[in-house]
Amino acid sequence: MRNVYHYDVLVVGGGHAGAEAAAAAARLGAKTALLTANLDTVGQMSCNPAIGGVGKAQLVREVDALGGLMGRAIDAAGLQFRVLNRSKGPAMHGPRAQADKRQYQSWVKEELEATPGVVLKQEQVDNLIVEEAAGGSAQQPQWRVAGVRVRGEAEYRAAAVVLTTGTFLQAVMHTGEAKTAGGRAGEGTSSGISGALARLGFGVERFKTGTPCRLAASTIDTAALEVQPGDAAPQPFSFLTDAIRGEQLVCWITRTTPEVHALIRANLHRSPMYSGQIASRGPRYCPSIEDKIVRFADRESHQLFLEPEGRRTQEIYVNGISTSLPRDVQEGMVRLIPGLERAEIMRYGYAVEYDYCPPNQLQLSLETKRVCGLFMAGQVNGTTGYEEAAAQGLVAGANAALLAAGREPFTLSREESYIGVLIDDLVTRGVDEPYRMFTSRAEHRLALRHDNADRRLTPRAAAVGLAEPHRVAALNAKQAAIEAARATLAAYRMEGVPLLERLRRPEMQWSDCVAVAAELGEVADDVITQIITDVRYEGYLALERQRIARQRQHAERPIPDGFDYGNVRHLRAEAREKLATVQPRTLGQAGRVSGITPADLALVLVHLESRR
Amino acid sequence: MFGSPDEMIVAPATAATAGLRAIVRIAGAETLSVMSRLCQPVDACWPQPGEAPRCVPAVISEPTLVDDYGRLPCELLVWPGPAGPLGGPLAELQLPGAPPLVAAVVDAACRAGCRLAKGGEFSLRSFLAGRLDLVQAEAVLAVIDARSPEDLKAALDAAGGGIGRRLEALRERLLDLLGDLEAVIDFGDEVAEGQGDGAVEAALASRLDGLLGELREMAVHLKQRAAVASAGLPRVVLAGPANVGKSSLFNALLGDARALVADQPGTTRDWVEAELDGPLPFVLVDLAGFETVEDRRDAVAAATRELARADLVIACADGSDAATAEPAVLSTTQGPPQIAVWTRCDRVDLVSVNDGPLSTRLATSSQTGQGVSQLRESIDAQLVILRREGSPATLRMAAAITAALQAGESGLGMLTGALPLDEAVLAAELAQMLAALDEAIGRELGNDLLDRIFSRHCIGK
Repeated sequence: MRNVYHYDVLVVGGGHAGAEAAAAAARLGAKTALLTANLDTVGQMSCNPAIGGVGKAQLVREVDALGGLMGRAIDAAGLQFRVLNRSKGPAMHGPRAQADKRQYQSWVKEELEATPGVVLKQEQVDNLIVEEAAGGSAQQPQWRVAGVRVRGEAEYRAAAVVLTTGTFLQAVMHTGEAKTAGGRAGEGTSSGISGALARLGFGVERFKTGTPCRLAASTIDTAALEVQPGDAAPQPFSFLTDAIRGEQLVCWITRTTPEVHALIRANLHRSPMYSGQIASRGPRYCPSIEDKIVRFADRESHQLFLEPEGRRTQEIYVNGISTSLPRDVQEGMVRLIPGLERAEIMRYGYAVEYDYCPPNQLQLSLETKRVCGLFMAGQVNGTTGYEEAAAQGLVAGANAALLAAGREPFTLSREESYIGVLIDDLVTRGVDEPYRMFTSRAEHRLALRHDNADRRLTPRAAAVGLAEPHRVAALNAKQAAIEAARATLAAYRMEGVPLLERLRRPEMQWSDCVAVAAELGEVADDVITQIITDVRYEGYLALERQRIARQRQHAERPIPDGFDYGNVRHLRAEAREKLATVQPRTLGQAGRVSGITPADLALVLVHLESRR
Repeated sequence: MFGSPDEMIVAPATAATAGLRAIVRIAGAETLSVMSRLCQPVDACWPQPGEAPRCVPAVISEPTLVDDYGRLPCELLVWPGPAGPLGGPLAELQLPGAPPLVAAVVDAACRAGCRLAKGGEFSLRSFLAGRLDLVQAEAVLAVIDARSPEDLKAALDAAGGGIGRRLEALRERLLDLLGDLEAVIDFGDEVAEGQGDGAVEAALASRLDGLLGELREMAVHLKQRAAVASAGLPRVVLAGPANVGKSSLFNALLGDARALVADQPGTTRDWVEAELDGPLPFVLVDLAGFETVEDRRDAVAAATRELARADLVIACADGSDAATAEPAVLSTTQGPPQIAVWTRCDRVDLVSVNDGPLSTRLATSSQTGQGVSQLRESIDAQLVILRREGSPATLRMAAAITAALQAGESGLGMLTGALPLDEAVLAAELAQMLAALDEAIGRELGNDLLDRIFSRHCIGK
């Protein structure tokens, strides 16, 4: 009596991870169904209506370079563009944009609807269908995913399933003493998948995150506030966008006051974070206002940014005041803030607790070690942020399609991408708080810039079939222009020194080069950026490359599946245990497992060699 | 992570004991070219790849080494091809066993493109080349693991005169600083909020400057310590004002060996020195000899020279003056370590000496023999410490500190405006500085003691 549908790849969830996963799978030719409990929330920005920032922007640019949606979506829906860290070196530039959140999500949904091979389905997934696969034992059976069961007597069958369920697993929202089931204000939760994962033997743990209140713009005295404008020349995120055309909106800056802090302090006992109502851990780098006041008790004031949520809405996001305090306290503190004396709260802030699967249960392809064909991406892996989710979604979706087609997995390394850093960190080190990208996580930061993401990754994407032909053509044209301009710079001299060499000096401008070789005046801005940055970082990059090459030889040494660390004599018990849990795929990965010493590695290497 | 077996590495292969032959090992794809930058074969030429290993008499030719040591003769055992004990080119440079020379050669090899080998690296290469069997490799690696971090720290401290502990503290501060810099990069707007332009940079600069100052001091300290273990026996000098009883103490320390001194031809009262046996033999020097030199300037010059050569100074002061005043002693803090003693304690009421601030000196009497054996024990203990400090562990530590200084200095240059500031590059420099300190402390990969363990395993022979 069941309705059974057949696909190559199923994506469960329609957030930033799910959208990229479905699009990537379809780009690789997989017949893909995206299943979401609510089709109106595909591509929804649940928290901050913004994309990018330092570290995160690099992820967005990499997702774009691999053919993803996020960069084009924000270019279409952005209402204020600003490059953070502009005064610092190019490797630290962090483009960020405020989004019109409705426009953003409808762009994503439209794009998915228009993507050949993707079907959007409103379905509530209740269970996973798994089968026993060959290769297991009685004690440790090997499972293979076969599809999902949805509410209403129906099944979807596929060789690969990508779980991108965000904060929706066993989700509980807290506002003061009030507790509501649900992963996002006004929405429900999903318990079937958590149960299924637990039954399959996955570890499942809980994290917490929060969101601030939204205010009505008409009730804010913006005239009294400092204005934060966008950049005069807005810079697009996508390598395919030539310019940002829409009108730019402004944001405003205000601050908390000692009175606000006093009110919060007096009501701390009513905050679920401090009353013991919430036990799970939240991100340290995105603290609630109550956290800030407790942990930085000496600060009298914290900056707040008022960010419009769209062009056609009054809702203003108050960046910096994430809270789970009760409604009356939220109202009281907002009205003590300069400019917000008459402000009306449209949505109250809340904290949400949800299930995640510790990501060291995954492989670098984001396929679970336990169940073949089952992939996970996004917040369910213990990360936070749209950008982190999108990056994982793309990799998981691509690998789901590759697996369904019987092809080799597509993985990115730490040396070539922030995405590689992200996934390697998750899989190798696990998480102890919601994971967010920082540039300091990337050892090869100078090489991994947002501006060269296309040069780094589009060829990789093209090789596997992830990049659209016009994207590859655009990159080739850019590379050719870079080569041509470099040749010109090498040919002309200034005071006997080739321009290319002179350009190394920080005081040397492009216009100085044009004065010597007029044809350089024709060179496009993005090409100029590449050349100057390459030249100025050249010495350091050479050192960095040397380091990478040095590390590679042994780092890439594969460790066979199911390698028995019990056979490595003299290996410390602690090392044995840790390595057995993480099951690193390479020696390099093993070295990054916390607490593993060089001597441990040497012993493992010695054994790998002796097995040859 | 271990590097590629082609990478150039260098390490002293023998513990630094003055007088014996020292061996410095150089391995990697460019071994021949590094060798030819360090020395020249005397008659024949270097064995070329494909030729059999052989021993080549040579002279040191690297300019800085020649400046300091002249064109020293040495011998090289060279495996030019893959048939050697490491499965790749390897050279063993055999030198006179002078620790400073060994250090300088290692330094020169580093300038020529080598890096210091990590603990176990030679053995690991040997194993990977199939020259060391699994049991041997395991045995070596097991020894590494057997060392607890505490043991390691203690050993490093002993080797570096407490520098291990200071480095640990310094590393913590550097880590803080790097953390702050990363915060400026990832959260620039928030961290720098409310601070004037350049305030963050200025604060970082002054902290980094402080760290570098301490590192420089440690580098000087290590260098001095390394120099102590110079060619020949360590020199222990009895110093102090005239007529303080130095000669009596000299004789008391000599004890039965005294007759030997008297028998030594050419011995005059100009100065006296004597070789003493013990756990570590040393030369005891009596500066009292200078007091009889007629030309006062000559006497002062000779004493100064002798003090400069000293590895350890016994600073003598007359115990009979103890109650009245603290007599002037060698007031140098940078010089060699000192043991302070009161002499002629038989003449005074010891209560006044052994009480209060003056009791920091060891009370001796050559007349009664009081305190002489304690003094001898102190000397032996100091010498053991000094001797260790010329070891490969110290070499590694010194090299790592130099590397840390180099990275830190260019970082500081960026913060003070001497170099263009780029925070990502600055962070890379500081990270390199940190990695160098980690190496010095033995925290990350190689802990230098491991090198010593491996260097004692005569691999491939």
